[in-house]
Amino acid sequence: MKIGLFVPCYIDQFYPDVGKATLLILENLGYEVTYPLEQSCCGQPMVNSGFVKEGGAVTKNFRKVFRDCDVVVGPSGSCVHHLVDHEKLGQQSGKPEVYELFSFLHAQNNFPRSLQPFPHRVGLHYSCHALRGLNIASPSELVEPYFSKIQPILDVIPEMEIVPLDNVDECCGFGGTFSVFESAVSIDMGERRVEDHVSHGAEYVVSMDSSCLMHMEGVARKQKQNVRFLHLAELVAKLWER
Amino acid sequence: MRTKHAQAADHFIHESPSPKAQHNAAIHLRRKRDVAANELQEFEELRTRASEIKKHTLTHLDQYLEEFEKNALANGVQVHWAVDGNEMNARVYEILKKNEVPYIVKSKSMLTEECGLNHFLEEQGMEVYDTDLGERIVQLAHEPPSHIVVPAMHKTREEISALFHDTMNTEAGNLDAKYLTLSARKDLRQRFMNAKAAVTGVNFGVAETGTVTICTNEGNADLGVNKAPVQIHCMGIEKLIPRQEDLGVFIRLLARSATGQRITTYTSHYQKPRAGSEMHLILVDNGRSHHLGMEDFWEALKCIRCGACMNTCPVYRSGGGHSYGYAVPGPIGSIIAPARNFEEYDDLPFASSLCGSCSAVCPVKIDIHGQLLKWREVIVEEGEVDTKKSLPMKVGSWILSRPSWYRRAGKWARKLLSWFPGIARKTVNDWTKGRELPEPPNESFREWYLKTRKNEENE
Amino acid sequence: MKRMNSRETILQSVRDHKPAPVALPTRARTAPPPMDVLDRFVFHLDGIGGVTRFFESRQAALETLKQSSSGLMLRDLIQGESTIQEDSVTEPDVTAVEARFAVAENGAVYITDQEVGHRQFLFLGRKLIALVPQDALVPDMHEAYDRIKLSSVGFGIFIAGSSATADIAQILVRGAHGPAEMEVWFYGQQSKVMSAE
Repeated sequence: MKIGLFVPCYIDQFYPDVGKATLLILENLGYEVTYPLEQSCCGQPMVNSGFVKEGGAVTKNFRKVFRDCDVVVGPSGSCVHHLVDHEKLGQQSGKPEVYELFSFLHAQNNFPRSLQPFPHRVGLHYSCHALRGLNIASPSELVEPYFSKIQPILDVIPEMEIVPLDNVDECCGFGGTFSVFESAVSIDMGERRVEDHVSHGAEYVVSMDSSCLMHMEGVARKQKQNVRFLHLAELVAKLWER
Repeated sequence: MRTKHAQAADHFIHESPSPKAQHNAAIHLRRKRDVAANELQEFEELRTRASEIKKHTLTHLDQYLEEFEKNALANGVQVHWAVDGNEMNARVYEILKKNEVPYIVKSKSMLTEECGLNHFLEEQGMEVYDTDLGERIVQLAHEPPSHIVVPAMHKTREEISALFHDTMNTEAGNLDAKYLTLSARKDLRQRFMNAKAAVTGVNFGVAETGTVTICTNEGNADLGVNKAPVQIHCMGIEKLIPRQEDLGVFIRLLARSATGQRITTYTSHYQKPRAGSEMHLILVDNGRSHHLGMEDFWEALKCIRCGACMNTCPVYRSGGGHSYGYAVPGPIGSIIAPARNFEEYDDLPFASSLCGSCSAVCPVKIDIHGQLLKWREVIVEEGEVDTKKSLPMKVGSWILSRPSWYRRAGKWARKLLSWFPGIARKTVNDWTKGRELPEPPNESFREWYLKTRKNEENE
Repeated sequence: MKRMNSRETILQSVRDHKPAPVALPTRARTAPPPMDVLDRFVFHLDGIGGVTRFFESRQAALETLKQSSSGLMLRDLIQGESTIQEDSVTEPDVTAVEARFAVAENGAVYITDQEVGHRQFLFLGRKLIALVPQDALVPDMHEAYDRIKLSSVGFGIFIAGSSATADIAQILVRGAHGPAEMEVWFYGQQSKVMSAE
């Protein structure tokens, strides 16, 4: 299967390791991956602010760049949710089908069999868009049997301890332009979210969205909190290499 | 577009005596809701059914209104219609004046908040006693409610103790919640006993039977209505449901979603006035029928005012209920308010991180965060967004739809961050107030890819 | 004249604006409760601070009531019509009333104004006691609403526990405006789930 690798703009510019980790995971699992060089952004920041036309112009480039791919995979629940839910990619507007990295692995039922141990206490942050938008796990609001599509990955990481949280799937407060135009609320939410992880002894906060991590890390560094932030793809790649 | 919410929330977070009180109270209710919801295997099915019943009712609202009126009239209820809040207020006043009522006891009603009934009656020289404890507290403090189910959620015991000392001469410094509650009970009990009229809101109107259904935990609505010779129920026209059996669905959902109770202490069904007393029902439109015609937004009228979306909303919990400036705060208020008064409330749809928790807890499955997003689109289309916000969007779109420009901008952003962090911080002042900026890497993913993989690629 | 206008204005505006019709859904299936109905009732009433008591017969319950209470019997609980005038007693200590049935899933009892002479007394006493035949127990609110006929009474009410508020710092206080205590007295045979009438 030929996969188009989608590295969202802010990951490309600020978190290249997440892109590298995604590439490594897909290749290690046996996929042929192509990275179209003319990609930029999915258009979400504009559309989420109400600028649908402006967002659409950006998505147009995405469609063009990935038009020859059957499947596009990217390490961001948020961007993929936008492409699937708002721009309807893979549905009425045709291919490519776009997947968040771990949802893709789950759909393929193709996971690493074993990884290196990670003897640390980890707080999981399911990003809202991956959770409630892409159904990557059961959200706490719904009355349904518990499931998590990343469980098979967590299960093969020895010695990792997932810490319990008071609010398992609370928003971190990023929300794109919300973080700037409602900065007081956004910061308050971020502080509360970081506090939940830290107070339960998390050494690492792990998520499938770099935007949430950027926000929480920004808050934690400002508060000089002793906790680190990792994209789940980075963690998996780190435990796979060597 | 205004930025009232952002400013008010900022003020609440930094200046209010107890910014965490609202968060703690609301999240406590959310957790209790989860326990009660998970008790019912059929909870999701109930939500779906509740949503469908409400959609059915709203799409046949004229018929159900007529049926409701017909049955209420047959029961001996006096039915009035009010196009807007002014007419509702005038109608209430007219009834009170005719009966020479010196004051009223009133139970919780967001509709009367919306229409400013208290203020109007007080201007006419009429005394109004809010009898729900939370509403009484905010009334004595001359504040609006900050939550539709728990109106004084933002107030601490210390504040309430001081307020009661000032207004009811309770013991100074006594923080005992029971003492304070029973003091308010004693103070209001004499008002109840001598009241000539009681005003209530309505939770559900049943078309089939002409029933007014009222849910409370304190019993204040029932005490007022069943003691006073004149009872007046103010009801928004969207509160209708078709049949008695539909109550089974909504009563099961309402208290569970609101507070995690299985049912409110009192669930009353009023069909007929008591012998020798009057029962009035005022059906109020005040923008609802117009709202019904908004293709993308009419489903907000399904709302049963449980407050679950407030309790779960992290923005509400941070910024507090008053920051919304509308009778119904929180996510649901942010989609109703602009439908009723666009110019006044066009900032509210932006007061959300779009996390979607509101839609997922909503017992009648309103796609609240979907509507918030849709409102943003409408507000942008109407040209209501100021340049500070629209310019970056337009420039961003221009750049991001041109890959080479995107790459140049990305590179410069990274360089600016690493070479001149001070300038970068100032540029994004709103970000750096409480957050550090990311540490920029030396190369982008693309640059790394070209360096390491370019020979393998065909570009 | 004005009233007619507002009515027509609103109805016309609703007609002009209402969206395309959506059908009423069919009735939801209720999952079988995991617990015996009586156990569930006791569990839920206990959870909201109420007390459940059991008596062999209605007569036994009435005897206990006569001996112990300084209160007010509504209607014909003990003998014939209530002689209480609406304005004669303002704040009774105990109010006792016969309820039609109880609801297992939430600890509520159903009472109509056919059981209470004056509605207000349900809310005035310090303690409310509801007498219910033990075989009058339904599992949930769907069946509760199947049993009742709102159109045949002026007033019907579900009461679950005592008048309560947590409006001050989320601290629960009972006796906000109405009774601070609630007891449900079951009498008669061990209960079986009632079928709808």
